[in-house]
Amino acid sequence: MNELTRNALAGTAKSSATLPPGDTLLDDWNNLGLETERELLLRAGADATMRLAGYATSSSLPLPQPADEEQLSACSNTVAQMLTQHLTTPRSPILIEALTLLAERRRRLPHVMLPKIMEVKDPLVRTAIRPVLGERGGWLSQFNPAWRWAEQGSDAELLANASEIWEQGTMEERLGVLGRARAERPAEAREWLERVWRVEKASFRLQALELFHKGLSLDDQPFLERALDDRSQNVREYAATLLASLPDSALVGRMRACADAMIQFAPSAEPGRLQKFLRSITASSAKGIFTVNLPESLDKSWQRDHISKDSPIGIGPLTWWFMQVMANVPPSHWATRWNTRPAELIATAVADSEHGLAILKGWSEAAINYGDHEWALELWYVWVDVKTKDTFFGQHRIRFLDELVGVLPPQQANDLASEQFRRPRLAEDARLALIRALRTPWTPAFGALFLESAYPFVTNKIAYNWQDALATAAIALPPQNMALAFERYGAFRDKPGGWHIADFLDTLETRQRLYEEINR
Amino acid sequence: MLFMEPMHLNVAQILALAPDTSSANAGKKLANPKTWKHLGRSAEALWGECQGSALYQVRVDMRDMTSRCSCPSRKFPCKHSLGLLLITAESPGIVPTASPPPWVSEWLGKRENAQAKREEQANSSDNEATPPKRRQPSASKTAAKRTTLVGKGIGALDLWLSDLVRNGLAGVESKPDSFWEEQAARMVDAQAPGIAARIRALAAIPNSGPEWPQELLSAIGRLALLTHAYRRIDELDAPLQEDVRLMVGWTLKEEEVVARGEAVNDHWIALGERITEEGRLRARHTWLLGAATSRTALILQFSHHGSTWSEVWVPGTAQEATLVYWPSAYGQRALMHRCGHARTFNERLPGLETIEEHLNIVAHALAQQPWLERFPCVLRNVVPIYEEGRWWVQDSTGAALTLEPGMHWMLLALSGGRPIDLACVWNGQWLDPLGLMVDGAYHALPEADG
Repeated sequence: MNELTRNALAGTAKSSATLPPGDTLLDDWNNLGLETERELLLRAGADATMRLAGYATSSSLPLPQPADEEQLSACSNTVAQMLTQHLTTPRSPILIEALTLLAERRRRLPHVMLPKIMEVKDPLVRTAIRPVLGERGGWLSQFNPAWRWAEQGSDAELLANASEIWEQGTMEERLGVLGRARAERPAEAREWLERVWRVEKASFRLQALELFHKGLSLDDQPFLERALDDRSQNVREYAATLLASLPDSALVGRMRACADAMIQFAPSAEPGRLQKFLRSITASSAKGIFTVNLPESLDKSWQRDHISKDSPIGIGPLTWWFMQVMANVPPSHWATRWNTRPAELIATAVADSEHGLAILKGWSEAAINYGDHEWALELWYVWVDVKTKDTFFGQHRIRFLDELVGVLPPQQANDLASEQFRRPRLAEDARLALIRALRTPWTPAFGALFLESAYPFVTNKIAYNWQDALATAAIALPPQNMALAFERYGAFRDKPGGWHIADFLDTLETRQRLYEEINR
Repeated sequence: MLFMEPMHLNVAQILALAPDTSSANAGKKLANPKTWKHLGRSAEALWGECQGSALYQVRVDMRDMTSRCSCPSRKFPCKHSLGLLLITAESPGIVPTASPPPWVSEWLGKRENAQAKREEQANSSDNEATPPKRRQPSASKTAAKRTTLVGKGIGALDLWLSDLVRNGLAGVESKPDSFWEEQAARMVDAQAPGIAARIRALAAIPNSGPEWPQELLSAIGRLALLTHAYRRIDELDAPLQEDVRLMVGWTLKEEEVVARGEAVNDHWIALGERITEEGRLRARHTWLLGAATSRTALILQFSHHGSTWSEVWVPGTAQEATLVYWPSAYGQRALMHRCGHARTFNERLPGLETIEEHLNIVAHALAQQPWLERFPCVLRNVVPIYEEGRWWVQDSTGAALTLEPGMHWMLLALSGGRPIDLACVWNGQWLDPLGLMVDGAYHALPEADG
């Protein structure tokens, strides 16, 4: 603060000293015979103007490393404009589809879009954005901690910064860094976590553990086995889930041993009446009988492996424990153990009136957990035609119709769906489950079938379930079927209550335009 | 008349013309080829018929982006005009070159006639006797009365300012807004609204930062210089007299500006705009740079909340025009007197190679008119830097200036750590970046956020 300001702040009445003499022409106010206050004001004004005129710049600052030249060319402005509109829609599937297509065409987003796109929080969208950020996006991310997710660099570079953030960052930053480290160097990431494990809060331990499904291997087993004894129930549960997903883990070994003790298969030579009848339905032969010895009580070690004690309504506890154990054994084990084809084992279970449904449920969960295609397909055929009044199994049936399809590779899933859709008497809930479960995009063959079979349901007063199916189709229908969709459904767009169709066709149009623009 | 390239606007520029977001969204919806018939374009115009709730005829004069639609909307440009522009930008193939139908050529003809009439009037007024150099005191009583009132008001103000400094600025920290508001009101009563505005601006300074006492003293010091100058106005050079009168609160009508101000013809590049709100009045500051003369100019427009701006200046376009500066010792504010064609500007912006040059220009300007507050310029080959939470631009000699507080991510994203040409406004403390030219395209920058 300069002299003049000090004087003015205190007030000329209080300060006994006269104003300090100035040393420029402009300070020669005394000759004007002004009172002190006026002189102070005028000198201050002149001083301010001079400072404005004589502004001195700051000296050389370190220049940042400029961004590298772009390798990919930018997408067109039209595409950029369309994508910007969709940025505000949470988890927009159109956005994700378009970004994926851009990546395939080796394009990037224009620089103008970068600040906005860096603000995206949704992890699925972020994954789609990373390949199309270009050099500039990666460079830009270094300037804002909230944009670290977009960082692209060599392992060494990243991890050098990373350990600093791991020591001192916020919870969100630390989890972000742990996730990236886990993706590139799983063992090192695990070591980091082990070192701080005891002192971290339960919520952090759980979220950190949730990152471990990336790069999960038997090397993680000792750490996870210890986590089975953690103070927090959620952590124990999740550790068990992770261990159960590794077919060669000790946990799965324990489950296998339990299961072997509980269920035996005896091949039989003589087919009974019931079996003959069932053979005619399933078109494969049930070759034997199961003997099931349900456990009397729940072993402590089972509980540690996270078999839950309390059964849901309608199921007895013993059966409940049995199903959980079965769910944690890869289904391929049974085919090997009993040297019998999966289809035949499944047929045997179908024939078993006492424990059949429980066995099938256990196997279905296992097929989903361990991604076994063969078992998933065979089990799907069972569930689609099973008729049961039991509410517990009835609910799980729908879930299995969805999730078992999810296990199949896309082409096989589409083929299954196409085959089933041709069946005139396919149950509606199975039809809708297939629509929901098929991964996008659909094959053109299935797309065409969908458009045909949905027609009567959708163009008359649309049933509630079909609204969702139509919304799914809007994203899943491949470009090859779009012309057919416009042709068949176009007329219903403006009819009363036809807004579902209008939405459906609008989404198809937007997607079609994006395809055309990106492919230009 | 030289044949000028028609202006090619991109989608972002078109949407920036929209008066509000609902018009922009409605315009996008109407950019569907199915809703349009008889689309066509020529060197001067763009037209089409839009099927909305009725069939609307839409025309755009491509020379100055004025549009005319037969719909009843009072917004300008209306959603149909926006739709027409968007379709032309996105699918130029469906807008063929053609000779304009009667309803388009009639409209163009009327516009040209009106323009010719205006030019005629301007020409004839140019040929009148040279206007007087000094404003003669008007014989009317109101003018004399005003001068007396202002004189008294300024006398009272000077006493008030001296009191402030006698009692000490420290005392001002705890004063309520009404303290400043009352003094401003007295100046309004004294018919000196320009000074009233300056006093109102003082209210924000106490406690605004660690340097507030110096900042406040500087502001009231400059105000004191103004009153000092006003008392001796007859001793000042004529151009500076104009500035002083303007700052005190006298205004000039458009005809007076045209008669007495300096006219400059050039291709004026729109560098960017900033909008400020003062109560229910919105002020738009548009900064222009002459492509040939390198002169800078400020176009100020006002509108009440809800209504739209009367002139269209699209950042990154060059408008051939004659601007007339307000009479001043250092011309800054100007109005558009005559305009010709507009085109997109793709070349390198004329500008200064070093920050030193810019600061020299600032010093020179202040020597002419000491109360100037904003200094526009184009700085060439500067690198935007973000270092430890502060923003700078640095020129090729290593000299650097700070940027306005807030985040400038767009600037960083577009420059990538490389030198760029930046259009900006300096206020003595920081630079407000208006826009930059990168890869042959001009990008206007939003105000710093945060």
